[in-house]
Amino acid sequence: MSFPILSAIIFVPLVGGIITATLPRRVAWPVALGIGLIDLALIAAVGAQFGRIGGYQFAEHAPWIPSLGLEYSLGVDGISLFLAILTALLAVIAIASSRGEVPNGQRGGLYFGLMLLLAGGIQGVFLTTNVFLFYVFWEVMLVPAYLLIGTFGGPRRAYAAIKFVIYTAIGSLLMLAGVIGLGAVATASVGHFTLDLPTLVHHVPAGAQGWLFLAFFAAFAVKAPLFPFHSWLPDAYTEAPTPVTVLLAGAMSKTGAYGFIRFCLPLFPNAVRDAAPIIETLAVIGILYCAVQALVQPDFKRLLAYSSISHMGVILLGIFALNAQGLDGAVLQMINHGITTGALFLIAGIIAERTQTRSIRELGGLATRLPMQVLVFCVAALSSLGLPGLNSFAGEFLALLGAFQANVVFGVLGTLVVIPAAWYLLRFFQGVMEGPSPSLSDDGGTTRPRTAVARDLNASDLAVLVPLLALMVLLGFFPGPLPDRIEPSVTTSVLVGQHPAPTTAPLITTHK
Amino acid sequence: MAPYLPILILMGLAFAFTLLVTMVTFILGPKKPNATKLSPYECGIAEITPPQRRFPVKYLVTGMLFIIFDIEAASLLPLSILMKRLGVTGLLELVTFVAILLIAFLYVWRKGAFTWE
Amino acid sequence: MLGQTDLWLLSPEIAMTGLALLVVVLDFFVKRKAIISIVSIAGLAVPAACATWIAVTDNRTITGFYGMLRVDNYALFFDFLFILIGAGTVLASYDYVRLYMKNAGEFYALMLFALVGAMLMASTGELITIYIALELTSFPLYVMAGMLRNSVPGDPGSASRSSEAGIKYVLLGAMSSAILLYGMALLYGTTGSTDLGEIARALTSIGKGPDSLVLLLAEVFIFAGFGFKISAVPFHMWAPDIYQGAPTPGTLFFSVASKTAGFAALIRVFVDGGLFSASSFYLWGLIGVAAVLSMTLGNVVAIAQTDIKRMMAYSSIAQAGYILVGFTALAFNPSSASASTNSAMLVFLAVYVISNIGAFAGIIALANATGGERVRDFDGLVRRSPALALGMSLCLLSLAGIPPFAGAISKIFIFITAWQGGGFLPFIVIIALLNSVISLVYYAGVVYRIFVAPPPREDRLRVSPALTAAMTLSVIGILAATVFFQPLLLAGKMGALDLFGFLTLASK
Repeated sequence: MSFPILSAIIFVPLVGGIITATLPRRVAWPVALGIGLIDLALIAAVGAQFGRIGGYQFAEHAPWIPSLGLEYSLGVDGISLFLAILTALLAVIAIASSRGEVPNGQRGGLYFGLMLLLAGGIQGVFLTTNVFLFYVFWEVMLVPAYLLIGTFGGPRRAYAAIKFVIYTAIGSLLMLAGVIGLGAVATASVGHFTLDLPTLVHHVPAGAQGWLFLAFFAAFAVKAPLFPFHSWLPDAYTEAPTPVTVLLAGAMSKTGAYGFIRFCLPLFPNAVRDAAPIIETLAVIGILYCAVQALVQPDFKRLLAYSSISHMGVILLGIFALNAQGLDGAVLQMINHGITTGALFLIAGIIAERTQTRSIRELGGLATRLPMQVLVFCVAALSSLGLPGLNSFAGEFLALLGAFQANVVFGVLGTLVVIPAAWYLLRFFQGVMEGPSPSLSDDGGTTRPRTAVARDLNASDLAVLVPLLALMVLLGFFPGPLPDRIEPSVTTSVLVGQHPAPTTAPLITTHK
Repeated sequence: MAPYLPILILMGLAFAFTLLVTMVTFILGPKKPNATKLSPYECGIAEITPPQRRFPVKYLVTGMLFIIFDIEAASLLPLSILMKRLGVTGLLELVTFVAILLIAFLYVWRKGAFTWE
Repeated sequence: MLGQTDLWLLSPEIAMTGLALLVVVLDFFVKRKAIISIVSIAGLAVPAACATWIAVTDNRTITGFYGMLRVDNYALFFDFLFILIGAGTVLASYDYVRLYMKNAGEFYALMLFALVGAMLMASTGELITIYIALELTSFPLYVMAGMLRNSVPGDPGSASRSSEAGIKYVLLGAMSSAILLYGMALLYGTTGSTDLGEIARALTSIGKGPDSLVLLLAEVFIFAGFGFKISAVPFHMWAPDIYQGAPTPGTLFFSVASKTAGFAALIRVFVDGGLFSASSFYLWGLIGVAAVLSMTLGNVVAIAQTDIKRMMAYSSIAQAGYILVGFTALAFNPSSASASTNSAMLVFLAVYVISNIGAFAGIIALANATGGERVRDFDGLVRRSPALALGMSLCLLSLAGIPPFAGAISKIFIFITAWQGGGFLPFIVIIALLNSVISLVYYAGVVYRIFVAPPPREDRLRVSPALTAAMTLSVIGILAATVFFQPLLLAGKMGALDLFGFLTLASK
């Protein structure tokens, strides 16, 4: 048996996290960073050896509790590969960026340990091929995320943490009901009780698909998040410390969309076909609603949270187009969204830390004082807008194209909604970076303007941000390698139950 | 239901008979109450304090210990009658039983349940 | 005539009795209470060795004492569980007993006597013996509940609450015994035997008519009688007061030993006695209602508790409800196909025992260090004792059923097997799942307090070696049960199959 590299990717952060949690603060940071880098190196090694075929590679199987259908089976395909890489990358960045202050007290070891645990849980979600094991890792994510928000978050952290737990716990318990029901209804057709994902495909009776889909939908819709199940998210993202938000928004939110792709589409094709128009409608409403919400937020971190939900809507639109283009675009956009959102939250965190405020109104004119900041922010914001030449363009374009092919109405609606949805980012950029510095005139000059105390990016900030920016540019010009690897997996393992995709992989090549 | 029917009839009869006898004495018996007859101790002098009062818990402990050991001793009797038939096994059981009883006795002793003060 | 085989089969119980007597005698002469604790825990190796000896013997005889004793795999599974409970309780109680109780020796001796009864409850196939074993388990528990003669410093009412708990426990226990005995009498009246095998055989020929009505009554009474022991709604009223009033190590012991023994005997009587095969709609309907009520009431009321022991009492009621979900499935579908449901219940009990010992070790550790037993005394525990905080959280999360810990897997296992039973069972499973969410509120609430809430004082708590050992044992146990769930499952399955094997044998 070869080296179980996927297990290593999951358990290096999990075990490392437990060890880190016990370390004192000074040692914890380098140790956690080291563990994160090892994890990134491992998943990069997987990526380097990854073959451009569909199906699972590097598969690992071990019986854990066969009687329960719970087998320890891991595997990586084109869809999960990049998400796992993204997770490892964002974990490293999140840890690296929290070098300075650990929020709320001295429990630095715990903070870094929980971050690694969260990253390990997310890796587990992406890399498992057993439905039960997926559920297990899904819950593994919950506890560290809850404690990170609740222990290290902002002033309203208790409220945000409880809200987060209640939403996700109800969703995941319904998913558990779905997991149990899935195994039970498929027993007759498969011949034995199993929860192995590849085995279960084609074995879910059409009559049971509706209920099971709803059960899984509950968990994924909360995590994704799909409008109207999103209301935990602005609170959680806003209250969590910035590096944690990067991990939550960049990596954890992808697990919901990933769940739709990995489980709902292949397992319940009939139910998905029936539900697709409703979900697409919700996605379009979500894009627009959250964009409007983002426009009126005085707090720029909250603005970014709504912007993040709004962009997740495009991904869901692509997924439920139920064709190869849409799914390719969705997966690609998940990666891009992770990179862009991560960068934006980091920048917002840096601004908030330097100026001691998160209010757009109190800021202004930073551009003249902070040239580096402005450049970085500008690139990230343009990436989020979907500017051609930066990463998000290809993904968003493909996702919307898929939506067009599936249903012209949703395609048009989605496109129309996405364009004005970017407005708020300009508002954020203008409000903070340009114009006069408002607090100079407000109270007779007794307080120093917020912008005056701000310092520009230093080397350690750049060390964190530059890799993300480089990826934005790189993926903007050369997105090709990603769809090349995503495409075969989409056709072989996601669209298996759907009507045969009309065209496979023609448009991808245009981006090469 | 059939086998239980006689029992049911018997219960009914018993109840009816008891009721009948009680009623008959109640109706036919002469009733001439006076103060002496109604006093608690009809035969003696008038009470000085109420008869219900707290008595030391020591009585209770002694009483309970007596009952426990008494019953344990009583259960030795059938064993001794059957001793011949039970043989060595029986003897061993008897010894075990007495040994455990002895430990209990020792326990009670050490706890001071036998000292009156 | 009695033979060596009988004594050999009884050897774990004999060894346990011997150990209890030894502890009583030692208490006369030994001044240092630590020695008694050490003897109690080390001595548990003897019954464990006896049980192992029986377990590893191939093709052994199972019945002894003319069918009164049934030492099958089911019994052995519980024997080991009870020995584990004994070890956990001794470790967790070591400091508490030394600090607050005058009579350490008696506490341990009573605990060991109760364990003898509990082991017997799992390993007899005869109603009267089960009843006697039950009483042997219950009486020491009554005394243990009322054993706190001097109040714990910082809580002046604790001694009187303890006495109150003792009296309440005796009275309610006596009532439940009477109900149980009445049910057994009715069962004897219907079938003409007290031997479970004979009862199963007689029940196969029982028809519809008045006898089936009497039988239903018998089943309901027996269920009610054991219902007190397992603290299932509506027989749960005693639990909160007694859990709160009893000295905390005693509470730990009730919450695991009484419940486990109750379930051991309950399952044995209903399955071995073939009561389900002859039962009607009403029985599993009633059990299902009891399961749903136990879960819902336990979880909902637990949220409102401010005393951690009361919270654990309601939590244990809810946990009994989860096991009763499996029992409902068993009642609904009493064929040998339900062996997996049965093994699910056994495994769940084992995991519950391990997790609960850890949780109570945490409560005792905190109470020893600070004197507080309220939920809010856990505020900011992570800053005062990180190891204790982590261990306690792990146990609570396992009880709450957060994957990947064994508590979650065993709970899900019950749900899966119950769901497969069909009929109305999926609905009960869904109610159980919703209950799991509700239970998260208070379990995660404590975890939240431990990690997030500001501590009342910035100091380091000292946790004694014994409590550290109890907590470590529990944490290792949970982790081991998580990783090696399949072997545990197989052990449970062997026990479950023995029960059903007996049933099919009896019906021939």
